[in-house]
Amino acid sequence: MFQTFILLTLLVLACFSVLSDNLRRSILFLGAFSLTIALAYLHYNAPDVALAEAAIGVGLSTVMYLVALKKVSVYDICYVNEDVETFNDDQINEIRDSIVRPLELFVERTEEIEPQLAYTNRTLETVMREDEHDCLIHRKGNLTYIYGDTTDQVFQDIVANLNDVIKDIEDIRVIFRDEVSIDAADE
Amino acid sequence: MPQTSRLFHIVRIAFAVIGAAVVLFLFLNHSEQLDTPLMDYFTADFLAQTGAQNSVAAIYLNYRVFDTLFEALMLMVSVMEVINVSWANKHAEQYKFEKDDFNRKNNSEIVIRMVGIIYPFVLLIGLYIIINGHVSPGGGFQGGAVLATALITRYLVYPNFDLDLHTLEKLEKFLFLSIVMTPVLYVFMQIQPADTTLSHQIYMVAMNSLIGLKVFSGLSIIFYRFVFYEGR
Repeated sequence: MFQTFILLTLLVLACFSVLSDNLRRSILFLGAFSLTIALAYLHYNAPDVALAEAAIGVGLSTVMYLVALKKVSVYDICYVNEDVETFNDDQINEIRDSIVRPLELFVERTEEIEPQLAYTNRTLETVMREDEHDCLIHRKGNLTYIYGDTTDQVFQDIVANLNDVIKDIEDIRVIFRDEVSIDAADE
Repeated sequence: MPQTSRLFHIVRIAFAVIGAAVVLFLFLNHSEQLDTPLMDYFTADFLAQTGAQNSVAAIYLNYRVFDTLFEALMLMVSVMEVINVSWANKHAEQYKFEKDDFNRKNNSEIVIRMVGIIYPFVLLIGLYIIINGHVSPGGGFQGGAVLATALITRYLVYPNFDLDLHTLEKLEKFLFLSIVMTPVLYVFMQIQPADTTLSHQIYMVAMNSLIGLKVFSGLSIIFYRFVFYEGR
């Protein structure tokens, strides 16, 4: 009974730590997983291994993961295209070589921040109102808009180097979100 | 993206399937019954032969001490690799000393108070695990890891870089030399003051302390290197 309980708890905690949306929560689930597996080792008469697991798994690696999570900063780019009915990875391919990849490379190499790309086909207004992305790429017909904040130093750098970063497309427009209201940007 | 040829793909999958089938076949048809001569040898008379009341300590500090040497070597090599990789970072100089980093406002008051209370007890239990390694469960590695955890919780409270990592690195290498020398002299060459349980127990405590200190310094070096020489 006790064995079944422990092993099932292990499975549940492992699934939680893999499937959870929040990385910090994942780390805490991983710590709980280590503690439970230490209990399991103790139950199977291996106190030495249990002690090592408790010291390494719960203490060292949890703190190390938390510090690593604090050190990694992510630049969040969102690609909005309302014309597409169902979005999949093929849709991103049409702008991948021209915009997305150079932008990611610039953010990664020059700014040394981890880029992260999301895409959606919801309308631009809902995305701007409900989500908080650092940078929005909006495709409307043949025109490409880039939205960002004036206070964002990374976005300022991107705008300043836009000619070097994105070479293929000429008609690309930069809109600062905090200077222009959403209605004005639509026109 | 270059595509590997379809035939190659099929051959690879077939190879994996055949390999898995062979392993499963051998595993399921293995019906040879072995006795437990090694277990009998290790657990029959370990107290008189090695002076350890814990058979695990008897195995890793006396019967199979050769394994322990290479485990210690493995930890030292990984520490050296971490140092090497973190120096390769082009901004290493820039983050060498983060003196301005000290900022109590970011740290939770609860964590600071609780770590302050727990800290001496964690140190005590680490030392207890090391010194009592040949009697109770535990030993050098576990105790060293607990001590390193205590030092790392210090980072949560007081994130300053006032630790002399160079001394720790030198200490770790010196400790590795001692860890190699002690069993070579005591177990392999049989240079013992007396073949009594007391003498064996002194050897056990000395070896556990050396391993504990080495693991402590190795894990601390890995952590502090990682925190202060990596990232932004």
